[in-house]
Amino acid sequence: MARHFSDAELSAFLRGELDEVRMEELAMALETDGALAERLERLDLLTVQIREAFDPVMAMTVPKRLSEAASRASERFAADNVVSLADARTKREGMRYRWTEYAAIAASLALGVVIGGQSGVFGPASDDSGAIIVGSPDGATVASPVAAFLASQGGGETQQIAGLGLARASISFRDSESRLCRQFSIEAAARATDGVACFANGKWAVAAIGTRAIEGGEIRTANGEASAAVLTAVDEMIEGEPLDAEAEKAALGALAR
Amino acid sequence: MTDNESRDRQLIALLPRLRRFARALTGNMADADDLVQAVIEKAIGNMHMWQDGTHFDRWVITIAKNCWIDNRRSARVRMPHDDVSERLDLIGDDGRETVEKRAEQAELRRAVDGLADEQRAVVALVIIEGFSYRETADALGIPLGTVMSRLARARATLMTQLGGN
Repeated sequence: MARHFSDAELSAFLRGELDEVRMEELAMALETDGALAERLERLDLLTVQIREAFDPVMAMTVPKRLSEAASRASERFAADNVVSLADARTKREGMRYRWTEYAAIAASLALGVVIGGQSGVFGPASDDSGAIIVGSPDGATVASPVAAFLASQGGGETQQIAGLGLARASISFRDSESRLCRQFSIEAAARATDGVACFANGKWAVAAIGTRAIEGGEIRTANGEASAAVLTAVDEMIEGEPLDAEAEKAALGALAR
Repeated sequence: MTDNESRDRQLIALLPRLRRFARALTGNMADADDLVQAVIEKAIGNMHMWQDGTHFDRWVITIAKNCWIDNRRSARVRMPHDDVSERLDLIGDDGRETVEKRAEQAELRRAVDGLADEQRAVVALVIIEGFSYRETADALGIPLGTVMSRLARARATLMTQLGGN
């Protein structure tokens, strides 16, 4: 394959008269050969003229509707998510957030974003205190006190987490990738947050979350009583049966090693 | 939210360029601005898909190309008219040379507007936006050789229309 291109060949290309094979070779060469690209450009008055013909568009005043739409970008993006989270909280049935949506929120709001403590806080935070779920570049993970709880407490056990409420471990199971996953709830005065998280790469990645109102002050969290969103997620994710107490203990023990 | 603010700024800074690209694709400023509006919405909605460290401008331009292709399918009858000259009236000095040049530019824009959509997309990406042939091939999902041949045909058409200069 000849790597050299004569001016005649370059001109032929510009006139649309270079054969296909040679044209493809030229395209490949232009990818890496800056000098060749410059030669082509020098020969190519038309390219310069076309650019000049459209450049005046850049000098035109940008309509207000466009600059406003663009300048509202981050603000509106953040606001949309606050609204959707608020909506979720007002629903009796919890709303399900898939991992991808958390990833979206996390990526867009960037560092230090925290989703929902029981106070309904949603916004930037310097640490994860008061939050159940934390956005990170890797996706949504549970906040560190929740992670510590999930790594240590067996099914049915509870633990008070400051600023959040009463954490309660529900079932443990393996997903299709054999990751250890746990369903849990965190119960505050009138509302419980249910979630399911799977352990991978040293973190509990949140697969689904939902909230529900707690009626009459009575708190019961058998597996059958959790946000529909979380129950559906568990049904979809679980491979086989939930782990029994012994298997769960072994799995948790393995995490610590 | 420093990060978001910086994306706002990047998006705003990109608007003139985005409009130029959109004008080249759509053939008139009204459709171009509608396209840009759609691109802004889409870019905001998909901001999480933009990877830090990649070219934000390329990413947005690619969204614009996609939006244009999608809109084209809705088969709106395009009414080409050159409104760039109209709106650009009286920018700069108005010597005879400028007037002539402006007329030439308007003629060239009309010629580009008249190209087949596939060719115009390649012209807009390669010539106006400065994408490499490889980047253009990837953006349009076509082989490298097709980019070259479309570009060559576009140039040939334009040169014929402009009297072989």
